[in-house]
Amino acid sequence: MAVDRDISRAVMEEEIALLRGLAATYKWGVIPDLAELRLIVTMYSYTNDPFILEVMCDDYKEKPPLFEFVDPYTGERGTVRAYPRGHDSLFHSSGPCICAPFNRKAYKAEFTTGPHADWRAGDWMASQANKYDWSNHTKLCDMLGLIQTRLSRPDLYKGRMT
Amino acid sequence: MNSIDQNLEVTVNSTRGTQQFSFPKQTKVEDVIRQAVTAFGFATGDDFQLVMESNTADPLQPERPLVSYHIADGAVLILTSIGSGV
Repeated sequence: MAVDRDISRAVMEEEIALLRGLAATYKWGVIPDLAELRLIVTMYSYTNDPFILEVMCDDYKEKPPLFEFVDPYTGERGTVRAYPRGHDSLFHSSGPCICAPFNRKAYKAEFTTGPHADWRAGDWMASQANKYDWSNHTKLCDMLGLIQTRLSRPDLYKGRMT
Repeated sequence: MNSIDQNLEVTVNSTRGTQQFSFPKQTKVEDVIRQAVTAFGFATGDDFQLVMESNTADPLQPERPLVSYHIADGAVLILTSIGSGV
């Protein structure tokens, strides 16, 4: 059942308000488009590589948001060059995508490139995938904070995906 | 010396807001993390780390006391989590 867009919009507004502290620390650009249920966030890695994240929040939070990186040099969405490469599979080459329960693109049932046929989008907030408690990553600020941490640390960030 | 001088007043920033804390200078980083996780209402099973706002690349070592990092009153620390590859 689809979530009323006004409800998703209200949740977005509430969670975007929590971003302020970290946005200032990490010099994020935060550009909400509430009419379209879209949030754009610009970030930098510790090496000063720029990244653009597009977060679509239709049907949020019945379903997780849809995260997509946008190439900062060409504007192309979802290319491997738009994505960071990490020390593990969170930034996944299938899609590519952010492979986490909080990303709709990781679900095979939602996207044919989704790495996980074993996940159901409706269960995302209670996920224990990989024996990890994902309940601390159920707000937009949690998700963006996790992604920024992956970009900020030399032991976790390995450049662009290609 | 007043006992209050033995404490550090720090700000901890997290994905769920910002709070002020007062800790004895010898408090270990792992104890700061534990208190902050509780204060922000995070589930405790996660692997959290603290970084200084001035250096987000290097997590503070959990076994070290705050004073060993020369953290001063008013310092801003960030509570972070790296999630898991799935």
